[in-house]
Amino acid sequence: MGNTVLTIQDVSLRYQTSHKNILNHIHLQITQGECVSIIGKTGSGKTTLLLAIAGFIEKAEISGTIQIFQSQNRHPVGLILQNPDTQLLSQTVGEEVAFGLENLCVPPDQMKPLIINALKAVGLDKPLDFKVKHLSMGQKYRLIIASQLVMSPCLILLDEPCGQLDQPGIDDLCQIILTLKKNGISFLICEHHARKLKNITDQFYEMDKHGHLFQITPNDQPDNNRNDTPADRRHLSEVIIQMQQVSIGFDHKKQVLSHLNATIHKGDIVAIYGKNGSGKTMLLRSICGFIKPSKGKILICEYPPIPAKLRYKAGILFQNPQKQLFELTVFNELSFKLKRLNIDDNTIQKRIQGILDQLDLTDTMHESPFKLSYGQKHLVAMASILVNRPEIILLDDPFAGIDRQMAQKIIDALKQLNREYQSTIIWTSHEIGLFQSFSTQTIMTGLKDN
Amino acid sequence: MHNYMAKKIPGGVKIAVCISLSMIAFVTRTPFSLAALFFCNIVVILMFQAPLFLILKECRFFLVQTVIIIVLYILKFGWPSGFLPGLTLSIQFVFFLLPGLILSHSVSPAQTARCFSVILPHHLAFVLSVCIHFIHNLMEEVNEIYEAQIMRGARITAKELCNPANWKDVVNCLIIPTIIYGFMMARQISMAAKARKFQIDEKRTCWNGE
Repeated sequence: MGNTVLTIQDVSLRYQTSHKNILNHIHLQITQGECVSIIGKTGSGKTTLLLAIAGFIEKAEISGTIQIFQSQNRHPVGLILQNPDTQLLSQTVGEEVAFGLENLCVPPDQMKPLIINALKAVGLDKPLDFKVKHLSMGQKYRLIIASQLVMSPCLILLDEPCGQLDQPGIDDLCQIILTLKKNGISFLICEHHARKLKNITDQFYEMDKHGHLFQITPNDQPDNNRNDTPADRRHLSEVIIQMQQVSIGFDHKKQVLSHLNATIHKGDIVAIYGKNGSGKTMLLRSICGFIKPSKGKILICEYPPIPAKLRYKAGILFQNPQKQLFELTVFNELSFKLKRLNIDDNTIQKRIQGILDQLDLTDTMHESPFKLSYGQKHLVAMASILVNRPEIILLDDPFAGIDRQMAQKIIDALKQLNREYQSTIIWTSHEIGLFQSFSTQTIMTGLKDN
Repeated sequence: MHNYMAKKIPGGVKIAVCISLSMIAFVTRTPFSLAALFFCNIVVILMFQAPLFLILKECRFFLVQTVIIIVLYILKFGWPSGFLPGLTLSIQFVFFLLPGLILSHSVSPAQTARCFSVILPHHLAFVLSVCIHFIHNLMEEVNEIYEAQIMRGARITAKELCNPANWKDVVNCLIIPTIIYGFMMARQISMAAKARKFQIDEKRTCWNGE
């Protein structure tokens, strides 16, 4: 057994604004070269634990001890949060990796070999002046790992790495972690699904909703990807959306999607699968009428889409849906569009109560949406779309970053809308095959010929 | 040749030119001098190889600002005596802000930090460079918020904004979420920097680049 790099003894944590402990009597030990994965529902406190280990918790009461054993010439802990885009601070690959070295006061003339070695360790073979914005999501994630590696950490904390990555990205990440483990670097990973981390994890723990941590074996984790039943195909006579030879791109030279043909009927549930950057979001924006296809045409009920007109029959949920929230209470957030549709107060109250009950958000009705957890914000944004019972529901990666139980609740709510109001649902995912049986039709993006 | 010239101009010169242009906007009031300043800005955009399309796209926000200033002047001084001073002031504002936009598109954050670190401590230079590029990053997010809110029923399309009754939707559905998202972005940037040992009160070095 290697040297211990992290010991957590009886740690409890409570935010000053809350009466409830987020973490409860946590015990954990990680040795050199070991990978520990913590599984748990959205909002159970996994990210809080990582932030507490990294020393980033403010305005909270913490009891117990967190000890990090630092080797010589090593930066103790590297923290990598969920969204790579918000962690990249520079415009080029070289500048990004150099940032940590600058903070450690490494002389500028000694930086270049260290940067090259770190990039080599994560298999990112790009020139140092390569623009960060031209990297894929998987490459961005590798760059962030390199920018931590260059500081020689003993322990790297990863918060839901699989949430933003497609399957090749996850495979690459697992391979990198295996290699780095051999070099003595330890990992603590928080993730929703044990399945994806089985090959790299030495110890699995689960965090329950009360913030207790207990050890499990990977087999304890059911792979509940397929516990949904296929949706009924009904009302298929009426064509709602027609895509004819649709090509979408930044310009004629750089096409993201090319020659896509699809006919979507009323009541269809359509899954659009594709790797990161394969044009899923652009396709949804085109269906709304925010961008015009460079070739071909999209017709909604036989007419080209115009956002201001389409909004009365369609609802869209973008990635990072918390951006869409703006009201002071969850109730106001959900009632915003209903009021615009001149629906009476009683009906508004009933509809909101119904959707909040369905998504387990009843207690939050009069709370500020901005004070809710990441997962709850996601559900509120989703509820604000579903409560309007739109004819067309467009969801951009609706299950990214949320646990399976929460995803199942969303699926149940969508299926109910589809069953009772014949809503047409179009949703995207970077995880190919996710909840495939929920859909009646599948579109793949990122292929040369769609 | 053109691209080569843009790369040849040192970051420090670009920063100095943009700050000077911005300052000149304060003292420029006559139609002739404003036209001359406009010409200078165009020359600078072309020389620095700043993406003209993106800059024009971001200038849409100046249009809203111009309308608000002119309306406020007309409300205070009446029509038509408030129109011309309102228009002049709003153009001055545009010329005050435009060089900052050009700067954020033509000089990278690291280059900005390197240039400022000649006259400032390295850690302050980094914070200043992040601030300059922050607005530009936030503007990219505004577009996504704008589209989401239109689909949620906010009456903020260009056509709908011709009706003053819909202006409050701009505040409620666009400006407030943008400010809140701006705070969130600032917090995330600060956490990302701290995760890599950046401390506001500690010394740091500065990589010279490739």
